[in-house]
Amino acid sequence: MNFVCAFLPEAHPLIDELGLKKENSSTFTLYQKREHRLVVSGLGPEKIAHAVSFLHQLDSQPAVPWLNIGIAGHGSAEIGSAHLVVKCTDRKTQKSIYPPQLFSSLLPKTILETVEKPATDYKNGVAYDMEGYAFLKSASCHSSAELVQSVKVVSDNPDNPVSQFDKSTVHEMISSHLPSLVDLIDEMKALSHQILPSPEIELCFNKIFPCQSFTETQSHQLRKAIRQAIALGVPVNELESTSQDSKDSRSALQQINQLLDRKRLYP
Amino acid sequence: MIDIIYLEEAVSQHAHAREVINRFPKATVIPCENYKEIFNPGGQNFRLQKNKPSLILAQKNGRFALPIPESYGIGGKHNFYFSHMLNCIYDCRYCFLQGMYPSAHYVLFINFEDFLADINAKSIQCVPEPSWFFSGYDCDSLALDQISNFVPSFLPYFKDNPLAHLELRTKSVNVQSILKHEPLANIITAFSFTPDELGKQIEKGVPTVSSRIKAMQKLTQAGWSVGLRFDPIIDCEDFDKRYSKLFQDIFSQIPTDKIHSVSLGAFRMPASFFKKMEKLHPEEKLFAGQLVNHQGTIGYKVEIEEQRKETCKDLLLRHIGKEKLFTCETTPESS
Repeated sequence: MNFVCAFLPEAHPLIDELGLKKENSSTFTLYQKREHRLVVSGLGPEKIAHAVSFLHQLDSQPAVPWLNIGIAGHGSAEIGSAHLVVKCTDRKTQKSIYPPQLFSSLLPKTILETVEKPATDYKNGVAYDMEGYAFLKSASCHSSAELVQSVKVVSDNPDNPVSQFDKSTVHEMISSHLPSLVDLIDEMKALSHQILPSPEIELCFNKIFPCQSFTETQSHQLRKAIRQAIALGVPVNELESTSQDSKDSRSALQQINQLLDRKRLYP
Repeated sequence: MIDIIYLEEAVSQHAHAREVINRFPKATVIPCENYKEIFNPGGQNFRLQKNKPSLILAQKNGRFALPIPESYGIGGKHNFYFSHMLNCIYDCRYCFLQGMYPSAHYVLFINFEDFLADINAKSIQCVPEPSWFFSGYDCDSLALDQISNFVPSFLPYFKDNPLAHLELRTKSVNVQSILKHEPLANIITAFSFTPDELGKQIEKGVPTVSSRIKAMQKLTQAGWSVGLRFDPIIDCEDFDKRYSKLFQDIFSQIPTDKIHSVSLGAFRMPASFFKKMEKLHPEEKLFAGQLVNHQGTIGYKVEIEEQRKETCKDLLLRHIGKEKLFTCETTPESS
């Protein structure tokens, strides 16, 4: 799972919670442990888009969840409250992104407007940041839209304008929401597991493929046959032995499909 | 349970939209300019969204009632379908909607008055001949009726216009709103069935066959006619036995004079939809069946399809006259 924060104090509570370790990286400040990766992007839409691209290059698997955590101004919410973003509009282009909401998270929802400069013209019910839209747009290119989410913790509002904001409070603000954030992270990971391709297909393919000289087209047909074998409950070792016993790649595919044909009737 | 409602600006003050929103006082309402901003973008996962679909309240523009495919009628000459909703609360593995739509969110078109105006215009064009309007191709007609208020909104029109006929296609048992009205000869509630053994495996959330038969009984006892839809027919183990039992269960409990029509259609769909569905559910046995691509339409091998349809026809003709039996043919996608 990938995390992107604009600056380090936003990231620290999560780094501690997940036990992430700093890695040597010349491009971005990177923290990592097992399947969790976090980058500190710096401020602004270009930097966050580059950070997303950087993280994607480290792990380009499909169905990876992406979470942006950061502070934001808000037109009506209390200082320190955390919100899940349900709509994000780029003020410059007036384009909007709607991250699908499939979670049981109790975090209140907010509309987010991404602006070029810190906002002082707060609207009721709207949060303001400088990176949200760029994050959602760029991360959605690399994963399913449901798995790209953003949480904003309110740092300023009309009663406490951004000019009075004390950066030293960020750690405490975000830390207080760690239980909710961890629940959301767990749900996002569980969701991604629902659509991860079965590793069994590639394992089986890697065993069978070297047995014969399969052409490019045949390799697609083989993958399909393996997928169907798994769906139909045909033991994959039977496919392997069938392939080994065949005289050539064409015959191997024919034999494998005959094996599957015996099981194709719906139970 | 709906947690999120997307609300198109164009219908934000529409009384129908306000009624729907009031039914979900805890839901977060998110304004949007056009429902397609949420529904249409690529990169969404239908399977994931089926875990918790949101509701989108929108305005339908353009064409409301459209001509149906030629072989899909039930005896009428002028046939149209319309969709007041997109998507369905049930999760049937064979459903083409998951291949057709990028999102599993429910879209409810709020401007019923425009649908009815178009239905009226089309119906008038057909006078003095009857016209048929089919609901339930892109959604279930009754399953979300308590939210959509579809039946109470549309029935009065058909009551006043007996030449216009309405088919409400459904897998739901939600017939209360129909039962509040006196029976109308020009409205048919058409129930879709597959044998119980298949339904349990591939029709998540769908009421049991027996509960749907009970719902049909309630309607027929109140004087309404019903339709039976065996579409898609699924090739399976013990095919003859399972379908024979299904037909027997239905016809032993529903008087045949109250059955308006029965239609049959084999499992089939455009190859592009099928490809997407396979990708969404790679572990699904149904998609690894004896299927072939007939000029862009995925369906069973011709001999299997013909044999299964003939079996069903023979079994059905033991219960009903052939004038009530209709077959939806598998046609190439391009035709």
